[in-house]
Amino acid sequence: MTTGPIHLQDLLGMPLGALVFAAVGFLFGFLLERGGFGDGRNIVAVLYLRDFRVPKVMFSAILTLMAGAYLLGALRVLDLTAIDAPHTWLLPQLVGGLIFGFGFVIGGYCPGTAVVSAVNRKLDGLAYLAGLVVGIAGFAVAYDPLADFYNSTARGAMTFPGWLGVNPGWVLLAAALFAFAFFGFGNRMEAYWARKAAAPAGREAESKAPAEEARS
Amino acid sequence: MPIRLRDREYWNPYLVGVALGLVVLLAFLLTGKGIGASGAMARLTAWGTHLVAPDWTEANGNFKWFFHKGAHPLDYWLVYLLVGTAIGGLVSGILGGRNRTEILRGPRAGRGLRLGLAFAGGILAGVGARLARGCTSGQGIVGGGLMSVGAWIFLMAVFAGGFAMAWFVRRQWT
Repeated sequence: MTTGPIHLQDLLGMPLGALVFAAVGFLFGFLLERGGFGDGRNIVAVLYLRDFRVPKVMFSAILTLMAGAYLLGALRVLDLTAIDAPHTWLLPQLVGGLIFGFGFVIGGYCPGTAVVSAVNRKLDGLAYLAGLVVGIAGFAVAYDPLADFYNSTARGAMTFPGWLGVNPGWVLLAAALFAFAFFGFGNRMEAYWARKAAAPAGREAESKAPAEEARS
Repeated sequence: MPIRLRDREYWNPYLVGVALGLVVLLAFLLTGKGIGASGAMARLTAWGTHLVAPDWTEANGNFKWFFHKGAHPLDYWLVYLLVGTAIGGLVSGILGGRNRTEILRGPRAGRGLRLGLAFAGGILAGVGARLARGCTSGQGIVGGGLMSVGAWIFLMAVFAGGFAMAWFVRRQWT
């Protein structure tokens, strides 16, 4: 007998139930802004190997969620079968991810961070949201010829533990190793850019100093 | 490291990530659902097209589910969540002294270029998110944390696409 999820929104009914989701969203939006993601420059910087905030936040969140869900499931506090996990469509998610990735570096945001940017009066975030609406509408207009591809390679609720036939703990370990390797690489790159930023200024100071001495 | 709400510095990214993970876990326990952003944007879009072309929208293969059995497209948990996301981001931005009208861009980019590329990037992200059935929050964080194979394919493809395109738009950012 597991205790969660308790489906608080159903217990409260409307409109109070909506407030539960709004409260979750509030924390989500607050944390995105606090992480620096109201500014697209902080988001795309990882793609130029300059600032690794995005993978640090993202993989910390994923690892916390993986470990927490595994733990709460094992303790029978949370019934994981009652959670709506995203299903898998191999090719649509591969191609969709690539197109989304193009939009990510061209536009500077993803949908959630663009909202956080736009509410803080960043006009580039607002322009991204306008484009997002056009892209979503465009996909709907072009839906009929795309429908076969959109529904292709469906694999249902495909997870790594189920697919590989291993304990989720091993998947958690692999994800942790991957994330920590990424963090380590990111820290080295950030240190490299910090040194590079400091170095020319240092040379300039050295070359300037004798000239100033000569003037005086 | 002190954690202050009225803070002009961004918080430690590991701390923000762990907190985000805990928020999603809390959402799982309370509601049985995670988080997401693009789904709500799709419902807003469908609501908008429905004002202009109700019959087309209700017959459209991608939008008709939002109106299933007379449902209102905005009466949905993701939409309530998005409203909260906007308010939470606004409160954090005001407390952090970052709420001001501006166009954020790299040192070499003009305003027009930045706004044009932001709009174009939004279009691509909209198409990609609908095709992949989610974005970086719903697919990436929630699906990634639940060990979904499709979510990890999406996430790796996002980074691959971003790295592949980064060189072409470097004038905008560096």
